Amino acid sequence: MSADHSRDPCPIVILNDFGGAFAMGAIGGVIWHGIKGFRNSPIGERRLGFLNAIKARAPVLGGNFGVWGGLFSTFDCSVKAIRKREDPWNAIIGGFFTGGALAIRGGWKHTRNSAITCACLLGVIEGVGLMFQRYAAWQAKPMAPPLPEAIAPPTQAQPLQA
Amino acid sequence: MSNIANVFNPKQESKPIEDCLSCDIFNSIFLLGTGGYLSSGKAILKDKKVSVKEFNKKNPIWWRNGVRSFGAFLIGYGIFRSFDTYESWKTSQEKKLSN
Repeated sequence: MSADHSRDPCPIVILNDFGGAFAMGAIGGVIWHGIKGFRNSPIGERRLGFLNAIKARAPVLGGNFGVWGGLFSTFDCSVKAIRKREDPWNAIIGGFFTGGALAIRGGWKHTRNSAITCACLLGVIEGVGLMFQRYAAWQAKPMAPPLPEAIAPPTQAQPLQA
Repeated sequence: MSNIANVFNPKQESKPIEDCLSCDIFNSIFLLGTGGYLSSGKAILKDKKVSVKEFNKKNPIWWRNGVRSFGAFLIGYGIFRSFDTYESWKTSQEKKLSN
């Protein structure tokens, strides 16, 4: 079982990640291709252009994101199962294999470049994530309770007033 | 080494994770499947649109052999992992029965 209990256990998390990535790509595709379709259509046809661009392109982009997310999650799970450790190297190695696997049909240079780029990208993402995690932990660090006010030291006896 | 590296990539403990049967089973299947795909040569099939010369340039023989060999290695490792997983499952079952 993964040490991160906020996520599903390994084989199920792949489906979860695939769906999440698909949704992210589809929503992003609606925004991106919607604007593009709207702008590239002649005046009077803009609504139709907007809708057609979304219908044609958004699911494709969602599918591309989904494949990436699912493959990455699959590799991540496999690397975790083999290494039996939970650290940022899992994601970096997973990213390396994902980039390579997606580009394998393009020849050895394409595979190499894609794998290295993907691993670097994941390394940066993991590094930034860790930085935020550290910063959040630093902000929420336990504070010592405030000390009660010090009792004033006895001063010289003052003369009684009438 | 410069301290800047620690700022950008702070050290984090590498935590060991508990044994997970489902992960191991999935991993064995995945290794066998990926190994089968790579060793079958489908990953380096020639596309009809690409000329032989261009295909040979993009996929030299050492690369094709490397992909196939890596696939064969994955199949072997997948078989090893399958047995390993089976053994760990068997041990856990025996422990359960003895308790």
